[in-house]
Amino acid sequence: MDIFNSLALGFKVALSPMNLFYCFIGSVLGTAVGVLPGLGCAATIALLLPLTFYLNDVGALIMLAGIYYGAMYGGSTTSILFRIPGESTSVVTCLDGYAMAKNGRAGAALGISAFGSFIAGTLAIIGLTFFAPGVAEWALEFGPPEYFSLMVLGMTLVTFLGRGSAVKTIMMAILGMLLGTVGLDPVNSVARFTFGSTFLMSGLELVLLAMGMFGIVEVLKMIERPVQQEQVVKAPKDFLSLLPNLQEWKDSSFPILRGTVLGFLVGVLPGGGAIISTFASYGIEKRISKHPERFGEGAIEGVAGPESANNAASTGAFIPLLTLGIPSNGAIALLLGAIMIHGITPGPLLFKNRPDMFWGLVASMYIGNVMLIVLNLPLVGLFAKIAYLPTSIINPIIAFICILGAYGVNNNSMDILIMIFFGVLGYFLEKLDFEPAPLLLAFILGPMIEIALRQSLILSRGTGFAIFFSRPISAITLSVAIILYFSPLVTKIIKGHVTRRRGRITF
Amino acid sequence: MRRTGLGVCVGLAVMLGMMIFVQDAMALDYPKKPITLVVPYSAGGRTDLVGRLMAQVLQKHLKQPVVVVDKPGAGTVLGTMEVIKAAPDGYTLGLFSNGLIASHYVLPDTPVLWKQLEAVANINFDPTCMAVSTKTGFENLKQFIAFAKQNPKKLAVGINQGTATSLYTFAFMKLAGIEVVYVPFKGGGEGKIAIAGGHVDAHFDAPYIYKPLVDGQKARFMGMTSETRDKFFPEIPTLKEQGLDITWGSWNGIFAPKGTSIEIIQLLEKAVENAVKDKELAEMYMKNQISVAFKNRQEYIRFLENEEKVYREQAIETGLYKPKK
Repeated sequence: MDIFNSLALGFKVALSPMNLFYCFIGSVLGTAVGVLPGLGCAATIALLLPLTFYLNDVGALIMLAGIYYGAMYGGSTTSILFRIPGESTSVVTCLDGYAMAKNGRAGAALGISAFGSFIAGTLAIIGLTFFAPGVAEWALEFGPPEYFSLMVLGMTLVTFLGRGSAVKTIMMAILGMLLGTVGLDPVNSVARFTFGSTFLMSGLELVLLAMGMFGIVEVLKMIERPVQQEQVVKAPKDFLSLLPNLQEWKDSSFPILRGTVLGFLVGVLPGGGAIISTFASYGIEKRISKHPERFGEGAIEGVAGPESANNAASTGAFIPLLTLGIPSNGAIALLLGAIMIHGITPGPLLFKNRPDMFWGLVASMYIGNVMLIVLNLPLVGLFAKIAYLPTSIINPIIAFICILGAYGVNNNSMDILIMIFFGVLGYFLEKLDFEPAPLLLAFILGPMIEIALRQSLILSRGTGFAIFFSRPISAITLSVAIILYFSPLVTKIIKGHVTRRRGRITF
Repeated sequence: MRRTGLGVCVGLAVMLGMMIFVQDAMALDYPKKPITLVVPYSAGGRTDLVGRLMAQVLQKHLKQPVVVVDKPGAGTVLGTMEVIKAAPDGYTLGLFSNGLIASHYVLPDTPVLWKQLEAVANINFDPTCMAVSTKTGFENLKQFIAFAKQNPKKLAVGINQGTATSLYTFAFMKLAGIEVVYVPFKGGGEGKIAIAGGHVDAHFDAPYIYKPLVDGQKARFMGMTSETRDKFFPEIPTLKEQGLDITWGSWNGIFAPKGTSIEIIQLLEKAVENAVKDKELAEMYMKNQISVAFKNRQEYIRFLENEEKVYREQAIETGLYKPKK
């Protein structure tokens, strides 16, 4: 009952006209940030941070939080329309979202990501409302050995991301891990693969690789085709047929729920795992699907799952912030800054000292999600029409957005060249049937595995790999990973012949 | 007649124009367009905050927008190089921390960067503190050191790899005469999480970082690295009063590219001084526990030279750095 009283207090705070207004501004800005690639969430919040000093503290926090979770709504838009990930958490949406747009179902893809985001966001806030403290304690159990085991488990997903040859998938994953080592090594700060360039010392940026290998590759592929061969799909007239139909809803409902749970749990981890939760959601949906061959050709589950996961993860990330004062990513760290700018220390005392702020924020998130869905649905109709434009118009738009976005990542013009390099590389790789998705996942996980492994080995004080099996969470996770890695081999031995099915790797 | 009149008019106009031009050239025509303030850290960090709040007030005094641009990467070297290479016209400035001096010693193959810049003024100086995980059970520094002496390499200490704090963490352990294992983290945030979960035992960072954990009884303050007790955290004893004579802190200051005219530097120096005296900025800094420690150009250069000397000594003593012949 106590929670409901508190929540009532929160709604009283959040429903005041000024706070409603801040919530609305946050939702609008968040949607814009999500839609525009290169305009990052953290950069936008940083820009507004000094201004929030002049606002009331709860209002400021409501607005900035709105930008953060609002960005997860719009992030899929450019992934679906142009094959350009608007945010790193929407990289995986490029796979099936863009394929759906090609099939004339852009509206359905955009619609399901908006509804999925709404459902996942709302469910995650309910989770936040009721389970915040307990979940936060659980998340603290994750130290370097647990992260290592979790990431190794995540690596098994690589095999679900490839559609063709298993050997090629593994080759791409290895290339991805190698690219992840560029820059300063995490233990001794020794420069690796930088060729003496200061610029490469900071390593490569995921968004650049993704924009190059998806967006620029798409531009190059479209250039191949003569203009007159273009097939323009006719846009449907009425709004309703733009949205997901009954069958698409049926296919998406469970992926949305699974994505929500997955995103929420991974999002709570202080290491920050929104990106990984999207890849994991995609991998799981493909694994359990009766028709895994549809993935990559425009399976709506491949959009619904990951887009729900990233929203749930963004909400889950508020838990360590509000209960422990621990930010799990750069944008959340800025929200922490926004609270502190008013002289308030977030953390366990926030409940007690400022219940109006804590519950006001939580309540505003319920309201913000409703605002976001109302805001985003008309946009679906608008954006979906873009997908029906001829390539001669879309092509320059993609190139333009990619270049603008690449510059926006770190305000560095060298980044544009890096992106174009990976675009050209990606084009030739794709011609040879090497796919970018396994490379990107390995690129994300590789550096995380490296630092967690090296930290764990230091912590083991000479006992070495035993540390991964002496801690329960790590031991279970790593065992599952090992079983998954070797299960195809065992299957092969049992059956006595090589089987090749569902695009899974068999040796 | 008409033509003459026109000629006179044109002549007068030209003369007037020239007079204005001459006058402008004599007075300093700066700043007349927005100024970029490069911060070599990502948004959300301490230096970024110091910079954004400073920019907010500084633009009031300079009457031109001051735009903060975050250029993180390569352990602050990327953003610093950007300012070093920028045109020395006063329109690209840098806001750097003590990482500017430390980078030469903690990152291999990094040149001495600060000598390639013009110091303008220092803004703030904030001490660091040591915190331990409550899972260790240590109540005070004495217990920590006693345990570490009896159990060499048993305690795990988190370090922020490639930062000035890592250098001082080594120096502290050496002074205390204890051996621990060092676990590298990318930044303060990650080290703090490991402290909260008890995965590492101790860590050095700014006190505000640990405050929520101390409130939640996940971490305990062990000591401050300041000379005297800090005004924002008077409850934390200094390391010095606990018998370990080591002090350091992190600072942030404004720098300009080498070759920037002395008039521009002096104008900026004055503007920074006015900004830190501005009530608006003072209040913002205070609420964020940022201690203003303004140093003018001359004081700052002397301070930087001393910092360089101390960092160098520490780096050589801890074996992190070997001077080249």
